Amino acid sequence: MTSANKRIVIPPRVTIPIGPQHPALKEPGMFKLTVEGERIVDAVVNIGYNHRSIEKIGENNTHLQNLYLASRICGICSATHNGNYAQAVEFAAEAEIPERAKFIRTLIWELDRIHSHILWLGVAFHEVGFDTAFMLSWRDREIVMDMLENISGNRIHHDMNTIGGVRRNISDAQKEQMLKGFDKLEERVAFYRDVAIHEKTFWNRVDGVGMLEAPVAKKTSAVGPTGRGSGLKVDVRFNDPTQAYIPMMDTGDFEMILSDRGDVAGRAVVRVIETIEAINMSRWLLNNMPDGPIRERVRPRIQPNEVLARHEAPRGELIHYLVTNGTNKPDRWKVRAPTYNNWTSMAHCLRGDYLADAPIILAAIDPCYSCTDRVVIVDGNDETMRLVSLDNLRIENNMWHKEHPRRE
Amino acid sequence: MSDTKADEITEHHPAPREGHEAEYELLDEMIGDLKDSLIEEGTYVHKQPRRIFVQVHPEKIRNVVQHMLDRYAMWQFITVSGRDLGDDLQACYHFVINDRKIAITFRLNVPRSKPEHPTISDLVPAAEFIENEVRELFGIVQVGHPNVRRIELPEDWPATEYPMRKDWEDPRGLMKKSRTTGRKEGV
Repeated sequence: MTSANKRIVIPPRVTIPIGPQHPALKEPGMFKLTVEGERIVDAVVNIGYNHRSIEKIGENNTHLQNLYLASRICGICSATHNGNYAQAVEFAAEAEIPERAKFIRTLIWELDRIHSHILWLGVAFHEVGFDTAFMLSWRDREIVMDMLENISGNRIHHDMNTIGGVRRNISDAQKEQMLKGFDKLEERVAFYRDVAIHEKTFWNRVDGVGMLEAPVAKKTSAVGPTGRGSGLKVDVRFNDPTQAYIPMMDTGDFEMILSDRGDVAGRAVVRVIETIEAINMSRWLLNNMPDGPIRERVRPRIQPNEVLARHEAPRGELIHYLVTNGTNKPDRWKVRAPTYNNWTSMAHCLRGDYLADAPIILAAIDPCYSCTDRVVIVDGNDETMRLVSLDNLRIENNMWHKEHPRRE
Repeated sequence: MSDTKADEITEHHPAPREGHEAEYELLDEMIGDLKDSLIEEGTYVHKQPRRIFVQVHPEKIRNVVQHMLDRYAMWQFITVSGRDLGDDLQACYHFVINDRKIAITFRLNVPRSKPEHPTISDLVPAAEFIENEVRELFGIVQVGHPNVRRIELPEDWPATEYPMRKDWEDPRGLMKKSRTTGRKEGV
C-alpha cells in the first residue's frame, strides 16, 4: 500500500450544546462544547438567560426596598447581597452601626458560607456519581439550615439586615443551641473532608481535571475558591475587612485557605477546609459578641456619595457599586456577582479535558446563574446539534467512566 | 450634608491625608507618572478606607491600564459600571491592586452623541464579558473589542435601545404603573 491511498482517520469535531437548562445545578446557562472524540477542544459560554434587570428596578426603589430586592438576587447567597447592600448604604451615609449588629451580620454571612459550601460539596459528589456522600452531606447541611431558621425565621432569604444594623437579636439560649450545633457540624465536615481527600471514588474523578494555572487565573481575574484553588491570595475578608472581620482578623487566629493544585480537587479542598474555618469563625463571633443595641437609626435620605462595597461571598468577591444622590433612591446600583468573573476562565478549564468531566468542571466554580446566567453539544464536522438533558448527560458520563476506569 | 450648601453638594468625598497615607502615596505616584492622562477634577482618595477614584481621558485608558499592569501588577479586575450623566455617559473600570490592598476606579466620560472609547479587553481578558454588557445596556462602544456579541439581552432586542439609560422608556409601560414611581392606571 502506497502512502497516497493511506486513509487518515480524524475524529469528527462535534459541537455539543449543554443547557440552557443547567448541566450542573438546576439553573439556566448554555455552554457550546466542541469535541474531538471524547476531548473538548473549544468551549463557548453563553449567559443571559436569567436577566431580570434588577439594577434598573432598583433605581426606582427606595434603599429599604432594595435591601429585600437584593436578597432576592440569589437564593443560596441571599445574606451576602442583603448585607453588602446594607453596608454600601451605611458607607454612603457615613453611619456607624452598633458593634453587636456588626457581629450578628458577620455571623449570618459565615453561616451562609457554611451552608453554601456543604451544598456545593453535595453537588460535586452528585456530579461524579457518588450519591451516597451527596445525600449524607445534604442531611448534615440541615444542621446549619436549622440554625439560620432559628435566628432569622427563614431557611433562605434571611433578610436579617436593615440599614443601620440588623433586625433580630440573638438570645443566650439560641447561642448555646448554636454552639452545640457547631460541635456536631465540625465533626461531620471533618468527616467529609476525609471522604473528599481519601476516597478514590471522588478523588480520581477530580485529580488533575479542569486545570486553571495561576497565570491564567490571574489574567481572567478568578475570584473566591476558584482563585484560591489556583494559589491566588484573593479573599476580601483578609484583604479588605469590614464589619466584625476587622477585630476577627486582628486576633490573627485565622488564615486564608490556599491550594496551589489549580484543578477541581484544589477547589474542593479549599472549600471543605474553608467550611471548617468558617465554623471556627462563627464560634469566635458568638463567644466574643458584645452586648448593646442592634440597630442605629439612619435617615432615609442618603447624602450624595459613591461607594464600592466589597464582601467575600461563598463564591468569591461580591461588589456593590452604589451612587447616591441625596434622595432615598439610588442613582446607580451595580452588582457584580462572583460567578461573573469566573465565567471567563471557564472556557480555559474545559479545553483539553474529557467531555465526561464537563459537568464536574462546570460545577467546580459553584456557578450561580441568578447572580449572573447554558451548555450545547455541537458536531463540528456536519454542524449537527444534539441537545442533552443534564440527567442523561450525567448517566452517559458515569457509564463512560465505568468503561474507562483509569485514564493514564 | 448639613454644612454644605445645596449647590455645593457633590458625590465626591475626598479623605484627609491622615489615616490614608498608603492611598495618597499611590495616588501621588500615579499623578506623577500619568500626568497627561488623568483629569484633576474627580481624582481623589475616598473617605472609605482603601478606595481611590481616578478620572481618565477616554482615549488614554489603554495607556493608563497598561502602565498600572506593568508597574503595580494590577491583575485583579473587578467590573465595569456604566452610568448615565445626562449629556455624558460614564464607564467606571474597577480594579484592585492586591499587593497594596487598594481598590481603584478609573472613570471615563464619553459624549452621548458619540459614546466611543478604546477597549481594554485585549489587555485584560477578564473584561470581555462585561464590556459587551455595558455596550448592550448603555450603548457605550468599545472600539476594537475582540469578541462583540450579545450577553444579557435577548437576540431580538432592538439594536438602538439601551435599557439602562435614564431616558429609556419601557414600551410596555410597566415602570410607570408601579406603585412606587407613579399612579396606577385607573386609580
